[in-house]
Amino acid sequence: MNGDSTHFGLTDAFRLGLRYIRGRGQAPVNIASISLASAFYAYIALMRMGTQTLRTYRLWLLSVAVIVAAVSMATVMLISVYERYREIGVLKCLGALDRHVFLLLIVEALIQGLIGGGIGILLGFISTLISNTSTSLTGVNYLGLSSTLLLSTLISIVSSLYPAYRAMRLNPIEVLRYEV
Amino acid sequence: MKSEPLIEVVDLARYYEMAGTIIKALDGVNLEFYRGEYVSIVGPSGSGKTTLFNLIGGLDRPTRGKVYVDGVDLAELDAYELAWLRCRKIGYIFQNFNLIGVLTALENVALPTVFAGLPWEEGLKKAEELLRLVGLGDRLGHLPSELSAGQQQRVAIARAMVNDPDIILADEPTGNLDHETGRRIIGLLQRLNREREVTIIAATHDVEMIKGSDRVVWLRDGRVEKIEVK
Ligand SMILES: Nc1ncnc2c1ncn2[C@@H]1O[C@H](COP(=O)(O)OP(=O)(O)OP(=O)(O)O)[C@@H](O)[C@H]1O
Ligand SMILES: [Mg+2]
Repeated sequence: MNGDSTHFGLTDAFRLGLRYIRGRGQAPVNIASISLASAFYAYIALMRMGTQTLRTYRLWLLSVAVIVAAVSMATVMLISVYERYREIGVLKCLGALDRHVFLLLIVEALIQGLIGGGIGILLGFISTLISNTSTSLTGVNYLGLSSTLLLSTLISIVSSLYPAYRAMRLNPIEVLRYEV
Repeated sequence: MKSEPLIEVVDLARYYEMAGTIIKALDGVNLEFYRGEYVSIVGPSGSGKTTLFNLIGGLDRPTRGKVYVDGVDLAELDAYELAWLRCRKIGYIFQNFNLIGVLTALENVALPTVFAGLPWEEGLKKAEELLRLVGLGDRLGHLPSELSAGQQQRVAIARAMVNDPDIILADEPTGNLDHETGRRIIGLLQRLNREREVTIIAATHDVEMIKGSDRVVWLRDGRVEKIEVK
């Protein structure tokens, strides 16, 4: 009408995304799967000692954990988008643009990745303490910690790209057509 | 006395193709809606009420014909401008309320103000005002699941009003309510229509709900059967 359009910034996405994460039943599943991967990663980052075979073994565990985390994250995000078809349609009715919907879901993934990574670091510490009493925690490097967070966030975001794209492309008429 | 129509619908048609056959959901509808009117659209299931609303709200594009809102041809607007129209000019009320489940009543009502570019705190303030207006001042922090159907619909009405739209499209707003609650919801809509001079177009297939309308448009098989002026 006057060339103006609607607004939905990063802060808005965080506010709404946090509500969704808090109110979502399967959030623990996402977080657990990411933290599983992260825990393994932290475990490795913390303990660079050990024999060659032990290191290879850990690398395998890490890869499996990353794949499991990515797949379950993608599934859970798809389900969460599916469960929210109607609400996404409503958002579009209220003025949300496609990119606003995309932003919301990516921000949700980011938040979940960060929470998962945080829990992963804790789990990593604990598993390190339990499994190897001879290693002191003074050897912990910040690089290991930050790369754990980075990894879990990346897994979370990358595996949410497709679900977020699906959500963005939803046609509000179609999803709102079926009452009840 | 009535001058320019707020909404003008000219020879509007929307066809769907389903397995080779053409379904004429709307077929050559001409209508005008004026500022401050309360119009009921009545028609049996499948008569094209929702299709008409989707076209007026810019959610769908017609097969033929035009929709003008405030003199602007919706066909000329891009996705951004249509979103702006839905956000600022039009409020929606649905049969099953369609509130956001994880947001409180207050946050649900404030949500459209975010899209309108208002700071969150201001949006919340406006939302609180409106929830008081619809008689839910003591339910601000409740989730939709903690509200009765009638209360949820009142939250939805407040949400539809929050950006001060010129038009409210209510698609069977009483369809999921018991009779008495439905009547009260219609009463509330008509009060808001008078007090705030917002144009309300309400679809229904329950003729009980058309009392107090300025006009009643009867739809059948995608065509206007008759228009009653009250
Ligand atoms: N996406 C679609 N694909 C095919 N046909 C459609 C589609 N949407 C609507 N129709 C058809 O168009 C006609 C009008 O539908 P519409 O939803 O507008 O009716 P309505 O008056 O809102 O009915 P109700 O009272 O049941 O909500 C119906 O015959 C319907 O089956
Ligand atoms: Mg309908």
